[in-house]
Amino acid sequence: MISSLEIQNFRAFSKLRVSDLCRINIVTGSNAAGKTSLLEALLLGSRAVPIMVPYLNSMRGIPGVTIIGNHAAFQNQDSFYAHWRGIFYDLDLTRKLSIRTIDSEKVTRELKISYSGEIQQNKLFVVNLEIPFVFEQMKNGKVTVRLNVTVNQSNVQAHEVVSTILGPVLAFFPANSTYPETDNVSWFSALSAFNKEHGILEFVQKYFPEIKGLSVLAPAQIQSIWGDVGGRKLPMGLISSGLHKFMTLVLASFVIQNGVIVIDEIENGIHYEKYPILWNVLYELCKLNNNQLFASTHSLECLRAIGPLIERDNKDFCLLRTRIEGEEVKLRQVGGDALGPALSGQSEVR
Amino acid sequence: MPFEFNQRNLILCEGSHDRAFFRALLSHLGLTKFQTTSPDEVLGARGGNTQWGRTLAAIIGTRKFETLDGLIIVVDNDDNPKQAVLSAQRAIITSPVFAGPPKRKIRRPQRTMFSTKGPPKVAIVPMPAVGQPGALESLCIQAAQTVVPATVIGCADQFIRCNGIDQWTTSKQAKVKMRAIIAASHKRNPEMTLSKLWEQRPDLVPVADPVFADIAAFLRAF
Repeated sequence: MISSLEIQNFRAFSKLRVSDLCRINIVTGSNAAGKTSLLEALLLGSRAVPIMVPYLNSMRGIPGVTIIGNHAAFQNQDSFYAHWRGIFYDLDLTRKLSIRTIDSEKVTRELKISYSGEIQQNKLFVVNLEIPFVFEQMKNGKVTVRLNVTVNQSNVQAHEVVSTILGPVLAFFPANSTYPETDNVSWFSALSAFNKEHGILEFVQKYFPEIKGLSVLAPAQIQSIWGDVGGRKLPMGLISSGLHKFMTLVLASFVIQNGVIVIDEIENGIHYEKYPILWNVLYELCKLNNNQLFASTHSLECLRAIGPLIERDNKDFCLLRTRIEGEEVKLRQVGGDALGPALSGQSEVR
Repeated sequence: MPFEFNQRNLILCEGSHDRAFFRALLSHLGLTKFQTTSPDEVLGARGGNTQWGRTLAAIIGTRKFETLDGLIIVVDNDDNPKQAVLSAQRAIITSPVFAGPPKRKIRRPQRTMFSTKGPPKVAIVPMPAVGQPGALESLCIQAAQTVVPATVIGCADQFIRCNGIDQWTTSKQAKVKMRAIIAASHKRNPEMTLSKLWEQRPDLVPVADPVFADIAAFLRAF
């Protein structure tokens, strides 16, 4: 589990340190107060590969890049710089970006990104190649991976191949995107191979009892998970997008172990009556698989639904409240011992 | 409406009557940097002094707690002034730490009508006064006696005697007497409670009365 997180010069944060993170960390705050930035920092700091930079931006709907697999093709050179500039605090490339985590085993992981603007002469082709960005993975203070990231003449982001993620294993669910069915199929198949898919069905039935079975089908050569509703099979997304989201979160929480589940705007698409089930299932699975959850929300109803769980095990919960103060984004942390009573009553905690 | 901070200082009372009194007093004194609340408002549950612990925890969990400069807990002494103060002190001791940053712990005042260092500075204000049994109503009766006809007061006293209420605790006697005075003095709505009194008939219990002077002075100096 990640016990502390330090961010420097990333997105909305010039400097941020948060420690004593819990198993379930709920993130609140107004628009543009840094909630998504905080969650993105976890993703970037964990995967820590250069493709994540345009990926993070494209999840926010920033245009100018096409991502296929591990390749990012930019519309032009300016788009490349705009995307990379976008991850730096205040869009200032002269700052050094760092995302550092310490886990419960005291392992320190750090991602450092800096703009060098260095020009390297390529003697073979007699051209000057600009090396704009240096990307470093560090573990316990030692550099384990160092990459130069540039953009080639075809506007494709270029760097040496890196296969190692800094870790821990992290599943990220953005606020505005449809969760990819390919992941669902892969996770479901992994469970099905060991005859464990009935576990998923049990959790899905807690949310939607009418589902009698789950299977992977590919009628048009495109695989997806189908649900059996009263003897008729339908793609889960067609039955309900909220149910599809719930199933995705359950699958991720079921398959990932000793990892981190990050959900931006967890309430999206979920009916308020289902919030308690959602929280109960996610908490149960997080404990079962020793996962850690970071979830942001704007919804007080959604927060109140987690109140009874907090009252039961308050040490497993904390609230991370982001807020703009002056020109800075600040973060305040509230422990479960204060959060539980606040949620059970009438307090505004967001 | 959810409870949230809109001022730098918070007066935490046991219920809506004390809250209404403090709102009227603060307005009279022109003190604007205070807000009032009570467990029923914060927790949505009745319980007065039995809810100090959960109320303080909820207050710490509320957005903008870090902006709070001062906290005053108003306790009704009822028939055991020492116990009333102790229960507030105990709730303070066991209240959660605000993780911050900056980290904050509500400090326990060693004695009543005394402020700890802050932020937030903390004080306990006992009603009707330090070491005296009773409640807010005990003070309100004294203030009402200066403006309400003596016959009303005399009849209220007689009502208490006739019904054996004089065997009840000091605090309960004061509550009955105050209700009788209000009912007898407010023909338009005899069932008006203390919580509406300063909105509808502030003349019946003038907050400028000297009986409230100690509390007023403490608030001014806080």
